[in-house]
Amino acid sequence: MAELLTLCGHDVRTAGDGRKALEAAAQFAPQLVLSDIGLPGMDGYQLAPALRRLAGSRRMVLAALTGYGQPMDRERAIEAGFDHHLIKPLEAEALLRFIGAHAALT
Amino acid sequence: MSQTENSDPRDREIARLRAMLAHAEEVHELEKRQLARELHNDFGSSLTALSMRMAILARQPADTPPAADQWARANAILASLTQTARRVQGDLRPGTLDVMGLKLALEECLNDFGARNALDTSLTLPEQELALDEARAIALFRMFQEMLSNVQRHAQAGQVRATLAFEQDGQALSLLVADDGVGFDAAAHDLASSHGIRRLAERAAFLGGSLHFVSAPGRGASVRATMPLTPTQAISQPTTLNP
Repeated sequence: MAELLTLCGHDVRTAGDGRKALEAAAQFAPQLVLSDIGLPGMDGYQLAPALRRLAGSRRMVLAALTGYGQPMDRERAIEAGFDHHLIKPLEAEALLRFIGAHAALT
Repeated sequence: MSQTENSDPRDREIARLRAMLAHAEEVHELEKRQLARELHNDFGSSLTALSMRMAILARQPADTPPAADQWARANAILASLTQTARRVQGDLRPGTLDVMGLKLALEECLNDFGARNALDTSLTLPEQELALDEARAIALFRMFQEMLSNVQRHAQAGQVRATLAFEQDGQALSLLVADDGVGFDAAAHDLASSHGIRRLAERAAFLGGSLHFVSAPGRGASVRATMPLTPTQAISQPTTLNP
């Protein structure tokens, strides 16, 4: 995914867990974060509010990318602070359209 | 005359069957959840990754070295997806059972289990042909899968030995799975609290058979299911329900 986004001209950072994601976000100040929910250690539901706190008033789009596709999963993600809830499997072109649309807004 | 609850054998049998039905529903839900998890973990992630690879390929000249690398990665994901699909299909419905019969299905299942878990395995089968009806063959195969699943989850074994054999002058069939793993104190364990073991016991009981565990800490474990071969004997227990 990172390779594709880089190829399409986006500046991308990746992190293997929630803690590393917070470290990367602190340095990189991303416009948009794509995060799995089932992460080792800190899960996506914990990561989202931590990222929000870190960003403060800065605009940042948070999207959960997960296989948890039930309505209650979506509600939980939105409650945690995600703006969007994308469900795997996700087609590459749909991801690029999504990122294109939100990159233009930030 | 007053009767205490469940003092009547018929009431006890009804209570037993109700508990069995409730457990079957619980197990059904667990299996569906497991399938959903598998679809999420393997299919969702792999299909997403594959879609990314194909999108990268579509943006690269076809004859460049990076494209060859992307094709190789895409193929590796596809191979892994195919393997997962086969495993899920096999769990839902063992195709080898229909095509090759119980003996070869057990053999393939054990070989696959040994390869996936890096275990030494051996299987002893009767030379005679098995004349089993479909329901009984499927039940035996499912019990075998459950026994192996227990080994995988709990035993930390290096070796698994399985035996399918005729007993009681050919009137019964027994299925044994024994491992050399950590074992457990069978007397101290509430075996009925384990879904896997309850499922095994219920399948065996439904076929008119029984289940027997032998284990001790540090000395491996073995589980043997024995069941009569004739359907009339197999359904003798449920018929006591008739009013």
